[in-house]
Amino acid sequence: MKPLLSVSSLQTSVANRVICRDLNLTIQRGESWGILGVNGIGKTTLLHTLAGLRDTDLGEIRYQDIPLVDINKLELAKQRGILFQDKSDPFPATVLETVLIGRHPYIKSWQWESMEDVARARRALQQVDLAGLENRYINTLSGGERQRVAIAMLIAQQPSVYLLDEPTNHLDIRHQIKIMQLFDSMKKQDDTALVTILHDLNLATRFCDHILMLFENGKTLSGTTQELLTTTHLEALYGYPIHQLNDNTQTVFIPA
Amino acid sequence: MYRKSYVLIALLTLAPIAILTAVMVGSVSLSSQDVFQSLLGNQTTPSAQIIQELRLPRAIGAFSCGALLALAGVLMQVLLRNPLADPYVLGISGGAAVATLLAMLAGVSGWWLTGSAFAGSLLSMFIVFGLAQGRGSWSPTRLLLTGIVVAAGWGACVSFILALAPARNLHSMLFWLMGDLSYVKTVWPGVIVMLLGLGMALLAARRLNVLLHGSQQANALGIDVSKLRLMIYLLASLMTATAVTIAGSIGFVGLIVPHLVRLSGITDHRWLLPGSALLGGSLLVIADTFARTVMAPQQLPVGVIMAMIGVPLFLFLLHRNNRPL
Repeated sequence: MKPLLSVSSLQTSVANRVICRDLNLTIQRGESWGILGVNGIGKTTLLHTLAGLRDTDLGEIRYQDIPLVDINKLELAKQRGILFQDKSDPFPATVLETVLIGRHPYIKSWQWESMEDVARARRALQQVDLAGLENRYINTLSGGERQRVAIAMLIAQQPSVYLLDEPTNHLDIRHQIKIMQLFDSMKKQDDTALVTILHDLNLATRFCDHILMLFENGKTLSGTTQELLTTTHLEALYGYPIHQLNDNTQTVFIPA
Repeated sequence: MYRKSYVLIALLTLAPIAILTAVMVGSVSLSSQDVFQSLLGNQTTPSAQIIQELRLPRAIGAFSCGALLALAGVLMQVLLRNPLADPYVLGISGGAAVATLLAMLAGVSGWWLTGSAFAGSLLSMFIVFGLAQGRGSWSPTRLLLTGIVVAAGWGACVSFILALAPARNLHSMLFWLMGDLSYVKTVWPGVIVMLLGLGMALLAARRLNVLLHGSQQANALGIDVSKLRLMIYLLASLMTATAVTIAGSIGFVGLIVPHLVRLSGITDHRWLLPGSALLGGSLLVIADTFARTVMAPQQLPVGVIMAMIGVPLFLFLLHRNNRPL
């Protein structure tokens, strides 16, 4: 089967600093990848590069085996969706209008949203626990609610590859787990793939099956969660001592 | 959905009422019967002449001018993602003002004045765009800063010209600067640019909704952001240039009308654009009717009346409304 997203010999840099050098990844349907690394190492830059929002220095990114540069922008918007870290809302818009933005790639330029688009947007709002807030203005929402509106917009976009930049930002513990479970179940049901930037090692242990670690000077390390989420690798990654606690059901990492 | 339709229907009703009132009211007051008769039949009575040659062109000129400014205001606010943006923020009216005042100093009149206003605004548009592009790509902030600085430069030139201008020119110069509709000669350029501009903006309206959430988000949803921004910039600039050419720099319409429509609960650009055009046009027609009747036969600059109506209206609605802006 064609991999949803594949990266070969990728090199990308920001302000003359190399983020990754000779990076090779193959991401299949149903896989969930976690990207880990210290602040400023370039996780977001890499995610934007994978989304085709930045130029690469070397190498190639392919979606379903087609080079990213050959995919038309609207078509690409159906292949991959990205959850951004920062949102700014200088003008008012209602929650429903905002979620419907996610349907943009599916609507012809002269058409309006169909009943089905609206139904899909409402369902996405239900999935993130925001049913009933359709007519609220987004600039009156709390940080966590605003984050969930952005997630609903991404779900309405129905991409095959979800690129998530810290999806649990601003969320309370219950919603952190609910949102991660939501993406997890969509990955299984719809045969999609997830690439998630995370700082919470325990969410990574629980929800990712593959890990990509970013180190200084463009070095990277990728593999299964089992191989990479060990105290040795994590201490090297964060430069800080980390303890691993095991009970019968799960593994927990805590900073020493 | 219903709310949006009600607001738009109300605005659709307001526009003809404003124009009809403007045609009826004046030094010779006319009944609505006179108005309809002169519009339907080709009469040569004095009242028909007043309507066909003076009041109707002026009312339609005012309407198209207000609509153009309101549309340009909506577009500039999306382009710069800044609620404080208005059609003049990037210096277009400044360029037009300098060119027009110089033309007045040179003693020309009529079409030459109109032509220099248009040439001045186009010049300013290209200067700002060229400079903002710089050596890299242009961001909204870069464009805004370039525009504001260029506008300040034009402002200094205007003051310089006013300081040196002979007294006999000063009155007409000040009137032009405050916005004055008595220069309206033909209504068609304004009406055509208004309709074409509205049509083009409406075709891009759903993309504008997306762009409001930031250029990265728009990019990720498959929109060619630099192309869209260039289109908005050119469209807004040309509409502003046309409005300034018709009536000088009438302030305030382009800033407050988009916000007034947003305050009424319309935030989707497919409704916001036509709503703003209707409200902007109607408000300027009303302001102009006041401007020529309040102290008749003395005519007042419409820009001043516009601000006198607009400031309290806007503050009242803003204060009463708990909607977030």
